[in-house]
Amino acid sequence: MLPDESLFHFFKKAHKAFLSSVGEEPSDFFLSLNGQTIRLSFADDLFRNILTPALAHLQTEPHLRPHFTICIWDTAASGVLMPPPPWSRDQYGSRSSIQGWGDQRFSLSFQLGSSTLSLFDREEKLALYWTHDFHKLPYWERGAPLLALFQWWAEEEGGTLIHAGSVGSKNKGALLVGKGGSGKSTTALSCLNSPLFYASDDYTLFFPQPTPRILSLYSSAKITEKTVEKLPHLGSLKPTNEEKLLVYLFPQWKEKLINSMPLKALFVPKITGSQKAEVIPCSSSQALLALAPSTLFQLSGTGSKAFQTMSQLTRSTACYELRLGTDFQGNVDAIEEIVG
Amino acid sequence: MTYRINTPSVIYEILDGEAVILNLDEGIYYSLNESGKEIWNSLSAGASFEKAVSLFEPGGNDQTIRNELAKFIDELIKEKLIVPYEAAHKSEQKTYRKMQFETPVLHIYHDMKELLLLDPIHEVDQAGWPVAPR
Repeated sequence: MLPDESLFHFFKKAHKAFLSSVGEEPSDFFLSLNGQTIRLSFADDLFRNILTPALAHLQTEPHLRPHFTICIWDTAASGVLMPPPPWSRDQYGSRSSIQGWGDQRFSLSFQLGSSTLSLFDREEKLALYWTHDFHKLPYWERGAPLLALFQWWAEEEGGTLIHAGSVGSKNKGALLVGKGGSGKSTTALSCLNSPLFYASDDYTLFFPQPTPRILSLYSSAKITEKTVEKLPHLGSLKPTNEEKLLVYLFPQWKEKLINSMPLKALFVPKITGSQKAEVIPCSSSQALLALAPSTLFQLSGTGSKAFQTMSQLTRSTACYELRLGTDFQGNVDAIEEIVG
Repeated sequence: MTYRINTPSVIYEILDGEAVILNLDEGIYYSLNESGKEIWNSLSAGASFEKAVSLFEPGGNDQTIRNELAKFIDELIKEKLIVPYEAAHKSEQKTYRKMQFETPVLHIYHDMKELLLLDPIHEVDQAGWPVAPR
């Protein structure tokens, strides 16, 4: 049997396992993204409580015909085993890929760190997300759940998921791009204490058509004890006690959250150690160097299509290097001058 | 001898007169200066070594250009960005406006390689699924 054909059968069997794991009926959660309704269909209420806090700001009314459905379950609670994988152990590759598997209809990934399987069927607009035990999901998976599935959905809709924080005003949105530790999260969270809105600290959806715009996906933030010390306005948030602190900004900060903004500027933050923030224009290629590798090296199944979309983004947006000062308010002021 | 870009592992975009190149298998990314970008463009379009040499004004020392170009192409091959290609495909015929020679430079960035490190598979369940480390 060819892998493609085998994948089709595996998808069917895995979907059947989901249906068997559902009790009386699934616990559905509907969210609205880019004008579409996406249904998250949980086998159990418990999983819903674990995975949806990061998506709570996008919740919408139930819809009879959602544009896309994701079925979510685990084995620990239901006792229903996942059918054996049709690939071998040595086919697990980098970027959560399964080498030699996937085609124009199906995308798939297996995240070894969290032991989560994501399967996406473009034709049926149906996806599956499974793990052994939801109670063992690491904090970063709960803070940014279903990442690969949202990326594949976005690509189908002409957009892409990017590794970027995003803040701004209703008419002018800005991206904060760069690898982990470059100051994205702290800068984005600093904006909560300003007239600017907050859309994301780490992952943002970008759609170039009809006009370039950025969308919030997760209203969670991953911070450190040090960040909380430096940003006293976050003090009342209750972080989980893990490697990094995972906080949910909804509903406490709901007035400061924004779901969509026209994209007007891109900032590449640099930690400088000087007190005062400074903004200087930078080239599209500098911006692409800060944006594309950190996005593409971590997102499964992405390649030239997402790279082209990011290239288009940096070409059509005013790009700046944001030399971060130690005065956080000064950093926010510098952003506000451009997109406030 | 011609060359081809090592797709699909290697993807690239040209903007602002610079090239940004990613090797998705290795977790390494690159940028090229202006002359490096011109050579990359011509090689990706099927140019031979001789054709790439002809991109530049000979100036006083044609041998220097040949040496620098050979060194640059060797580096692109070593980094697995291009692959020598012997197939009888049509070599590029396009004529370029000659430019002043400047040593082509490949800037290499390794700082995100750890993003591609694989988590080891310690154990699998009875059906064969990897179990996440505790």
